[in-house]
Amino acid sequence: MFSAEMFANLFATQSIIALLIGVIGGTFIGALPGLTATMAVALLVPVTFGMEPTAALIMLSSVYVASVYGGAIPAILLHTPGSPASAATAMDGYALTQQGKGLHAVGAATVASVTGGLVGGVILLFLTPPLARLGLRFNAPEFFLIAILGLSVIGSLASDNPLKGITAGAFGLGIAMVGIDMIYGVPRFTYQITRLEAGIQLVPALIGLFSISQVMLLAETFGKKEEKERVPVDLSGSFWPPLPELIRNIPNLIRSTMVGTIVGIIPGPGADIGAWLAYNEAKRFSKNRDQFGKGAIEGIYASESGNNAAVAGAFIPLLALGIPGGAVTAVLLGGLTIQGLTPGHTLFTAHAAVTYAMLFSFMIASVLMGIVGWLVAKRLVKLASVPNVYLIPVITVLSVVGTFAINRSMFDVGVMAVFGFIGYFMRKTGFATAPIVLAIVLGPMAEGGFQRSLLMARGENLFTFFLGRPFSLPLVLLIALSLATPIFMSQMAKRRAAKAAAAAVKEDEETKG
Amino acid sequence: MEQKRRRINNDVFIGVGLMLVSGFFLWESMGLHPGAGRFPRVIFTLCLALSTLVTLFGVRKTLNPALTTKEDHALTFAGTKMPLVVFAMFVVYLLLINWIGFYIATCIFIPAFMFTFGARRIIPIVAITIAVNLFVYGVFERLLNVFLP
Repeated sequence: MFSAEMFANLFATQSIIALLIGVIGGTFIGALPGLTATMAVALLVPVTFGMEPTAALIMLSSVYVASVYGGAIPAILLHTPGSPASAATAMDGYALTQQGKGLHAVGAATVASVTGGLVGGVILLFLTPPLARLGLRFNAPEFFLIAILGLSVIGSLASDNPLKGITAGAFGLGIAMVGIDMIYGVPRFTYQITRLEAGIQLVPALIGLFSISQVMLLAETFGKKEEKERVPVDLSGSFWPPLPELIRNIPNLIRSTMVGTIVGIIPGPGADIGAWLAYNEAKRFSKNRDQFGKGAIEGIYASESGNNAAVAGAFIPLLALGIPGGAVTAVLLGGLTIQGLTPGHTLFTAHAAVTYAMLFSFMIASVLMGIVGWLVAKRLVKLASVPNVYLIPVITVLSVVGTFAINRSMFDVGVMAVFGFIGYFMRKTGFATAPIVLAIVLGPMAEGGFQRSLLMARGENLFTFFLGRPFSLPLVLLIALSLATPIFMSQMAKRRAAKAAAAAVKEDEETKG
Repeated sequence: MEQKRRRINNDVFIGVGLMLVSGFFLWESMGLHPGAGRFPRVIFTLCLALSTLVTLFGVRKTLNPALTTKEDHALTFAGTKMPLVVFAMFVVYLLLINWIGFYIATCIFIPAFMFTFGARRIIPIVAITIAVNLFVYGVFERLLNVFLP
């Protein structure tokens, strides 16, 4: 773990610059409502293409962790979550801002995010290598099941409409079939277009699906009257929370970080669910339950430590087994592949110096984002109000350059444009775009595992062949758990909504009474 | 007697479109090498089945409008007009890159875009255009050796 090469990689000039750019860029992107962490990571993948693997991974992971934190600042000060992971923070955060305690709330969110990232990072550091060692015992059937486990996340990614999400994922698998077949060497669905023989490249597809479709969604606000005038925010007082408050919230922070990390490890739910569950738990344990939603500082500590810990947790199955738990980790998997790194045991043996440097940088990034937040929080409020008319052309140009940079190909840019167009209409009609990316990433793994399993089975019934292997059954159970999670989450959300509605009715009756 | 016209749910059109696409690729995969075509056949059969379900749910929503969701009404010409204009500008920008090169095309695209959609302050328009070009030149051409067309 602690080798001279690892430290040399971690403290190389390129790695430090990558870390700084990642943290600062991630915080700013996270603070801009409408720009997502997925989009930020997708746009950065091509930039990291020519970089040293350590610096590349440091930049991608630090952008992810910082963008989740950055989303909290406009959520608290403007009631506009910069990312879905900060939605829980917005409730109490904005209530505190209205009470003139906005800066205090941002400080609490900063401390919580740093704690969540730091503790989650330590768990990531110690839990991933043994899990990756387990992967050594896997063969083709297990890799097929792991790919299916990764694909089972689709239900969670498209929890609003699982049927459409699964349909998008199935078509994504179809897209992954384009190109030369890996085992038989036969071209499939290429129609004599030489450039398609290498398949549909991941980066053009994901930049199109996440960036260009987002640009088109943002464009919907053009010509509509927007509320640009914001109520002036009172940012007086101290940024850092008082010591007694911090001590009082230590159990809350520990609990929320654990909840967040566990949620992050489970493929599917992601940082936003991590934040909500941690918030719910904090409310359940709190003596001031009535204050939640009206400006409870415990709520902010819980949701922000929960979402940042979930980010760390999401890296565990990604690095150990190659299972991306969500859209951002699917993009990160693409970033790993581009650097020639394969998730699993080799990451912690042959590439240990690179991987451990990245894991340590995760914790450094968590601390650094706290410092960045402290320095720029007040200015980020202004940034969050930048009109879309200035943002859209910049994102568009960066999408073009980023796509072109991978293969120096305008054909890829055309593919990106097509995926952008399709992605926009998918999002408008309730089809999530993340399943397509997940399927493009995991499709070849699923097919390779399936084909090799058929060869290994030598005519035996595939069902008994799969279930007769020691690691297959636990993987099948995990797939079942992953499929059941969105149903459970949806039930929980319904119960929460019903409770909120009942509380609102009761409050209304009391007011009338 | 005036009869209220029933509006066909968007999912019916989408589902039928997807059925045609998956049917076409399923047919195409039948002509592939037996081994290489095995997995695509499974996948496109699955696509066909799922598209059929999307269509059937669309029919159900058409017959019972109470089942419609927000997304069923999200696709309107008025709502998608601006995004389509933006996409058209994006396509013109890509054609311009092929024709006159990246930097000149970008110097035209960014101000034209901002001006078209209501930005009138010259300083931010010029500053953003210059900053983006310098950033791309510095990061991609100088640092990453990616020479743009």
